[in-house]
Amino acid sequence: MVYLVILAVLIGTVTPAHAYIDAGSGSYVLQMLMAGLLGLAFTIKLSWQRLKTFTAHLFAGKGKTEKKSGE
Amino acid sequence: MSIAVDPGSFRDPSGFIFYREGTLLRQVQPGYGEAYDLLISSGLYQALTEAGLLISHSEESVESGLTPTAYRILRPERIPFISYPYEWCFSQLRDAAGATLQIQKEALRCGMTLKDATAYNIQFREGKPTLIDTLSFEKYEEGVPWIAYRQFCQHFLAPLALMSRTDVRLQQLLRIHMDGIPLDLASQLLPRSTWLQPGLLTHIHLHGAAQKRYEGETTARSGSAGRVSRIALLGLIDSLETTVRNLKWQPSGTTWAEYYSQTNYSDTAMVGKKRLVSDLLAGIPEKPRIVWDLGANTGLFSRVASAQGIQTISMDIDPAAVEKNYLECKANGETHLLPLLGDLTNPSPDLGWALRERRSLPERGPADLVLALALVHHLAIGNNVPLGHIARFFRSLGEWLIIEFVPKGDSQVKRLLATREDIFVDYTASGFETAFCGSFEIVQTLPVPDSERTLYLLRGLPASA
Repeated sequence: MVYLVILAVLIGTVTPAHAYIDAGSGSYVLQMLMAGLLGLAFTIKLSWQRLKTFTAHLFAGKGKTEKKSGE
Repeated sequence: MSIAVDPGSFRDPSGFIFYREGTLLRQVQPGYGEAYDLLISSGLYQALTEAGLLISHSEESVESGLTPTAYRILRPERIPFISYPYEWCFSQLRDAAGATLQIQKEALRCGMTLKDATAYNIQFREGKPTLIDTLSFEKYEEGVPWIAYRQFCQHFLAPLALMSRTDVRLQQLLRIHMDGIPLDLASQLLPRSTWLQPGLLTHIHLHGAAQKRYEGETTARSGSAGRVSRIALLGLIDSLETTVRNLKWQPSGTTWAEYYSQTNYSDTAMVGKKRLVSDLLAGIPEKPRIVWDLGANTGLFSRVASAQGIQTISMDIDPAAVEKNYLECKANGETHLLPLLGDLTNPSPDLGWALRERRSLPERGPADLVLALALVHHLAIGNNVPLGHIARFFRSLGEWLIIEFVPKGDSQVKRLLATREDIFVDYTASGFETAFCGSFEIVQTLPVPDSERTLYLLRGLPASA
């Protein structure tokens, strides 16, 4: 809901840049307004995936080492 | 020498499609030269064609161009049958959306971006969605928003959301809105609960509101007022992917696996009928290259043809049947079968500018063979179409016809007549033969065991007849 309020306020207050008239102006503005949020969300997602992969490798490596040492 | 420009290929000044002696060619205009060279030199063309996401082409001599100014002449691989998004089932549209986003990600990786995201640029090639417009890419400039974002949402996300969350039949809005379903309309038609889903909230509801709010106002494409960084753009694509992936559709009130098991046949009779269809198919002197199975249900009999390596269109009026058919194709990796949604009592018409952009179903023919099994009673009794009209329409679709006559004694016809007066005095086997002999000659007839039905192999009379 907070997300909705922030966006509603942004859309209501930001004045678009003055340049070429484009029927898709709203789509451009929305992307510009959302850019920070989308970038942040994507960065967090990527970092989380990297962390998961790293952890998985770490444990897999540890498992292998343990197995090797037990042989 | 016969040369014709494709009447639907005019929107993008980068190039156009034309036919020289029946060969499909794409002329690349000089203004697109730099982008075309980048497509090749960046490795994007190779990556996408290897992944089956972009149609491959060979380069022809520029002398074969329509005008002397041609930058390149491409000869793309031909797609056996062009289909449109209003003919796809839910999962086909969703897979086409997924392919478009995958292409955009690969393009960004290679320093390019999709400059359009129309669903009409996607076709099913060997069962998989493929981009057929080689000129859809431009150089990516850091900071510039995705120009095709609105088009993607209107062509893919809005119809998918409406099919999934409101009613699957709303897909047909694509027929009347050539550039996709307007987002304010989609926003109004979606249930209020979709405002609580971040993806649909952003890409449909707020997007629609933003379009309305800034309609007619100005914004710079690469101005400094607002920039969309590369990571934000990747975030946008990722968000769209998640939103598309989370949309699901399943027919309500049915057990999926048994949805089409209630037929008039036993399993043995089904196997027997498949054999009969196969025998009739073998009776055609020249093996058909393309078969249209009309009223195909889940494609049981379409597979008699496609299993022989024949390109087969498997068309049905029921979105659930087409969905099940497509999912089966995907699961089995079938490459010669294309399930499509279609209402024969109101087939896809010519649409778009001058009625030439999107072609009607008959215009995309002819088929070498039409299959019309357990169908004629639905048209003649369910829709009051006289048998002679049905015969002439089928003749316009193809030369060969395998058709099943279902008499009044059959339980399916009895059901159709149960709630209405029987005004169909000519609906008899002899009436059927008389009507169809105006357009076809009877080559072979086979009775369907354990029923009063008959299968006919018919060959079309010459067009002047």
